[in-house]
Amino acid sequence: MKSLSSAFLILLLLGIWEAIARVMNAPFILPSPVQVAVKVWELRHVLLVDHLPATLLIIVIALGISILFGVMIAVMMSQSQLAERAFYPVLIATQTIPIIAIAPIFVLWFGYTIWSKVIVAILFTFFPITVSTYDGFRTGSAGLKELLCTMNASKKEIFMKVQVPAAMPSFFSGLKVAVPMSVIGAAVGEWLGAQEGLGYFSRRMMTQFDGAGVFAPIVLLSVLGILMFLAVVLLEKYLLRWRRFE
Amino acid sequence: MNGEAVGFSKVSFAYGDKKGKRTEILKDLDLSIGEGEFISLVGVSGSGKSTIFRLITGLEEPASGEIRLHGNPCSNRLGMIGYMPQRDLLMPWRTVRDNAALPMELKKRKQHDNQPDLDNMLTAFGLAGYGNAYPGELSGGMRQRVSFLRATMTGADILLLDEPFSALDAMTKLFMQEWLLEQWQLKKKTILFITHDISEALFLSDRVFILKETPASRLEEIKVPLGRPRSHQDAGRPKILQLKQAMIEGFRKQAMP
Repeated sequence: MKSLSSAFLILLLLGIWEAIARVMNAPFILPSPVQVAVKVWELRHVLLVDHLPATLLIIVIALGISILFGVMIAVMMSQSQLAERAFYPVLIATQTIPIIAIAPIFVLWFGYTIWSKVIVAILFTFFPITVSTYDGFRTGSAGLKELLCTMNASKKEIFMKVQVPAAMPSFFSGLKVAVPMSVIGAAVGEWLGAQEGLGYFSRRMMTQFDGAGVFAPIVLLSVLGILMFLAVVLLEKYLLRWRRFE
Repeated sequence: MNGEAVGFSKVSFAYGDKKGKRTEILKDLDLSIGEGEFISLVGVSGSGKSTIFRLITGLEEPASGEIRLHGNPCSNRLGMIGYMPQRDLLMPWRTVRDNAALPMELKKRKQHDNQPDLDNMLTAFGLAGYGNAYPGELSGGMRQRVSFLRATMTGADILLLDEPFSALDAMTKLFMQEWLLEQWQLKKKTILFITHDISEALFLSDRVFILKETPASRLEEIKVPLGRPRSHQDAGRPKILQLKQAMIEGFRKQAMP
C-alpha cells in the first residue's frame, strides 16, 4: 500500500508534467516525460556503454576514498581529543565551501583527468561519512566498556569489540546520505569540465538545444543513485540483522 | 569456612569531583568473605555497595588499605572476577553464544577447545536452542541468564552480581532466585550479591552485610539462620520474618530519624 501510494503520486506528477509540456510545446525548454523516455531508449547505447562507466568510476573512487579516510579520521577523533579539535572545525569548514564555485579550480589543477571530478564528489561525500561514523564511536555504552575492563580487555580490544560494532548503524546512516551525494558530486564535476560521463553528456545536449537529451542522462543518474542507495540498504539489512530485534 | 575468598583491610575510598570536592565512601573498612560463601550487600542508594564491587573487580583502587583475593594481597585484580552488571549489558549485535563466549575470546583461548563446553553450559542455563538468537529476541529472565553465563564463563571463582533481578517481574524473579541457588551449589563459587530486596537477601545468603552510614567504616552483619538447600517455604519461617521486620525497622530509623 505504501509503495502503491508513492507510485500513484509519481504517476500524477508525470501526468501534470506531460500535460504542461504538451501545452507549452517547446521541447528544447521543457521536454515531456514521453519524449525523455523515447530519448533514453534512442541513446541507450551511448549512455550506458560510453558515458555511464566513466561516471560510475568517479562515484566508486570517490566513495572508496571517503570511506577509507573518513573512517580513519573518525577513529582518530574518537581516540584523541587533540585530533578531534584539529579535524572537526576543518570538516565543518569544507561544508561551507560553495563547491560549484571552487570546482573550476580543481579543473585548473587536475585538468580534464578523472581526479578533478573525484575531488568534487569527495567534497560532497566525505563529511556525512566521517561525522556520522565519529558520532557512532561515541555511542558505545560506558557500562559495557567497564564490563570488558573487568575481563582485563585492552583498550584496543574494547574499541574493536564495543565501539566498532556500536558505530556500524551510524556509519550506514552516513553512507546512505553519501551515496546519492556522490552521484550529484560526480555529475557536477563532469558538468564543469570533462570529456565523457553522464554529466558531460547532459551539458553537451544543452548546447545543442536538445531538451530531451539534457534530461535523458539525468534520468539515468537518478536511477543510478536509487539503485546504489538500495544496494546499501540491502547490505545494511544483512550486516545489521540484529537490529530487527531491537 | 575454608579459606578467604575476598578480604578488605582498612580500605578507604573517596570520589573526587571536578571541583576537587571529595566524597568519602569507605573509611578503614574491614571485610572478610569465605570461599564458597553467598553474601548479600544491602543498603540505601549511594551507601557504597557499588563502590565495594568496583574495588573488588579492580575498576577502582583504594586510597589506602589492602584488598586480598584468595588470601593474597592483590593489586591487579582486573580479569580475576566474574562481574554481572545491573542491566544485563549484552551486546545486541552478538548472538547468545557469542555473548557468552566473550570472556574466553578475550583470554584468547582457541574457539574449538571450548565449543562443546559452551553448548553444555547453554543447556545448563536453560538456553538450549537459543545459541544463535540475538539478545533482542529474548525475555528479561533469559537475558539475565545469558549475562550470568557470561560472568561464569570468565572462569573466575568469585562472582559479583549487582542487582541482577531488579528489573524482572515477581514470578520470574522467584524462579531465577531458586535457579541461582541451584547453580551456586553446583559450581561451588563465591557469590557477592547486591540487592535492595531484604527478602531476596535473606532467602539467598549465608550472611547479609548492611551498609548503614556514609562513609562506611563498619558493616552490620546478619547470619541467616537457614540451612541448605532452601526453598521458598523456608523464607516464610517465623524467625526469618522477625529478622526481616527488624531489618526494615533499622532502615526506617535511618531513613526517618
